[in-house]
Amino acid sequence: MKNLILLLVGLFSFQAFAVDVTMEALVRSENDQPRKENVVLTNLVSEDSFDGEHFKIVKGKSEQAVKFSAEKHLTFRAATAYYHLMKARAYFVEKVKSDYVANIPKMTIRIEHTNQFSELGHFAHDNLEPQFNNALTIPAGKGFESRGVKPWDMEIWFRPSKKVHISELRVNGTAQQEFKVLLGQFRDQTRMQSLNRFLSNVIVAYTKEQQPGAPGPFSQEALIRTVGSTLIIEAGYLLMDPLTNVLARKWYWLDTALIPEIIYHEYAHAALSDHLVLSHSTAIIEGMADFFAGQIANSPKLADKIKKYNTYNGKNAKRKQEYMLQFEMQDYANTDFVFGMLWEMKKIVGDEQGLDFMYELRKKLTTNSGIRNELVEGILTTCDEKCAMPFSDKIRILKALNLKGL
Amino acid sequence: MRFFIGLLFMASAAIAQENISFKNDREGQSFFHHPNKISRALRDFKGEEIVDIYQSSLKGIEASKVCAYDINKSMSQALLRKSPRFDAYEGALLFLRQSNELDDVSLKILLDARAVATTPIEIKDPKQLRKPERTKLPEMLKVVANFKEKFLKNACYDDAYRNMVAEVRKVGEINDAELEGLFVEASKRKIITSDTYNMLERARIGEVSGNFLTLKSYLQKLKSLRLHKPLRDATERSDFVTEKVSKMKVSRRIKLFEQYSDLQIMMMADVVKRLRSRLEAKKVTITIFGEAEEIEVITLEPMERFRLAIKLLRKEMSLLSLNTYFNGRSPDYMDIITASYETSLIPAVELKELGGLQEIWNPTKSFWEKASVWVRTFSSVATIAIPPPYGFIPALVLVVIEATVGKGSDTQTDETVLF
Repeated sequence: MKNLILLLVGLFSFQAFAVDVTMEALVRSENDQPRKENVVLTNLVSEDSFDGEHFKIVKGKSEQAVKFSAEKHLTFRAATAYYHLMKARAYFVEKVKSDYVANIPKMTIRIEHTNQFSELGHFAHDNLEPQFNNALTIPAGKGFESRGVKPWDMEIWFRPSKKVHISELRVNGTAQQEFKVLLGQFRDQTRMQSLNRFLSNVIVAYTKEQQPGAPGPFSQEALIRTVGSTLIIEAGYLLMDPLTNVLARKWYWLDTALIPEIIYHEYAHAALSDHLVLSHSTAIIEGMADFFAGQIANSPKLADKIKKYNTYNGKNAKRKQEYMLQFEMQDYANTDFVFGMLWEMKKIVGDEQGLDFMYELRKKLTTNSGIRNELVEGILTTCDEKCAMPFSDKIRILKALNLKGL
Repeated sequence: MRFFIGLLFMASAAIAQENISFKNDREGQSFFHHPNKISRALRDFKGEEIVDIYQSSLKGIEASKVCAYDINKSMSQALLRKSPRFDAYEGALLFLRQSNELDDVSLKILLDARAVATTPIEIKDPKQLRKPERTKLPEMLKVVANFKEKFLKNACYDDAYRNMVAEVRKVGEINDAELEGLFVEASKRKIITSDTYNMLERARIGEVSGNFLTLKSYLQKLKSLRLHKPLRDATERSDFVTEKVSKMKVSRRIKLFEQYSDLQIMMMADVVKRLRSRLEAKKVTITIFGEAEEIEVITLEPMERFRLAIKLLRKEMSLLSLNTYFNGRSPDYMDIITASYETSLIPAVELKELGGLQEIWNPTKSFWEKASVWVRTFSSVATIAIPPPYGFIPALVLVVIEATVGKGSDTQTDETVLF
């Protein structure tokens, strides 16, 4: 009897701590514009801090949840992260029906955190190259007991934003290179055109009787026109890079804790970690996380239209791009090629089966899977199991992939 | 005793007479879609009546003697007996198609036969007529004179006409205009009756000598196909095979039966059978052998397997033309796909996607891609003709065209893939 009473009291007190709190967070409007809004934070177990049943939001290396009474810029980020993480979790549990996600232990979410990750020590030394404008999901670790490092569960770390000059960034400027190639072609075209015109004028001058007053091919007027226009084109070509540097954005920053799609992306890494181990960044692991982030956000565009907190171009699943071998390299892990590819695959398979298909696909992949080999093979094998009409759907998939240059 | 033997003989003969059927067992929406004509026919008759009359016209006919013209005549007469003012025979045939008593192939044969039999004959000025070579004329006239007794006696009208024309051609070369002149001459000399002249002239105008698909030959092909490649699902229907063939007035299935024999159809279907198994393959390797042992095994990537399957398909399609049964003719991809459906190798639901594989080696060009060829040509000229600074505009147009329309992945030049 006493035990029963004790149990009932315990349950009742636990229930009393499942609180909902309304706070201001950054959300997306119907037309995807960012806006501040009061949102309900559910499943909190603390009445005064961002400590919930599934997530605990802390600052930096602290183990204490951020208090509701903390400074505004911190609570704003904490509320945004908590709100969107709950949304992402609900998506995986209710829509994707992932048992794995339903059983993930409570995650610590670190905001404004600058330390690098250490597999042994959890946090790298404070002075070792602090990190900004980024987010990552770290795997659980056993810790290092003899050095006082306790074991830790899976965590998500959101770095603070920091304005970085463009010259410090290593950019894979494929778009800029393409434009320069086009401009080069235009320059070559106009040179050929000038030469052709000059030669045709010479031939006309020597074969036909010149009209009185008409400028000859070697006249001052003709030479000025030809040389002048050539010089203008040359100047434009040579000055393109300096002009771009002058007119382009000079400063970059990314406040990851305030970008909903980045929050979904990081949570997706956690949700897929039963098969896609969180060891390092690859095109596959990033692409899969992007895909689910897009699904949760219900948009093919990630981190778009949010200029105040992000000057990064974002990702777009509908961007037309063809496969390049470089996409297999770690340096290109964050391009949106795989994102676009998976988005298109879902369209082919159909909305009904698509989600289940994509979630099942993770079982066929590892973190080190390549795009052209393992990912394509995984898609085809998953289609055998999940597609409504496997043969027809595989043909459509193969055709689509062929068009993408794979 | 003799009576019983005679009875047994008649009974066995009756059993040996198969029930002829042209029922639709493959086609979906008909290629011939004329609801107005069907409505007109149904004004005078109920659907069941038309079906009964049709089935009656087939009774007692042997498979080797089924003639479209005879069926048309028999049906038409039966309909007119019941309704003397009935003038919607075509609608009646279309109704039979709608009820799946006929398929599009047999319907077309009957409609063409009807068109030939009802072709109006123009009386031409004799001075405009051309006759065959004088020395060959008498011999040719002899052949024409025997049309009814020799050719028409045990054959269908169209077969008889074809055979007769073939005999005439053995005597000497003759074109269509000369054939016209030949028939007129035969009629003028009273070698043939005016009725026979009308039959021959209608057949000539209707180009019957060029139509090799008769009900008899169609039935024979169908029976052979169903015998060697029984249908997996007799209720399956496909709209893909009744789609119009580009630049022709027939559907894919009609074209298949008009242009290929049953054996050719089966051979074409085998190409798709191999394609399907290659597309489904889980692994494809290239093995390199040395003197006595295997040196290396190269496993193809998934997309390489796919492109290999396409390459092998195209190779086999081309190699079909070397086969004696194809006599130098290489069937096109859609014919092969239609053949595979006809022989139940591919279900209807897979036809569209398999048919779409052709896009890989024969992509449909968009309007802009087609127009860009002309824009390029004129822009090239304009770059010289238009003086600076405006001359740079066509140059810019050319560069934009190359950048947008000129793009496209080319795995042929990609060195990182084998196929």
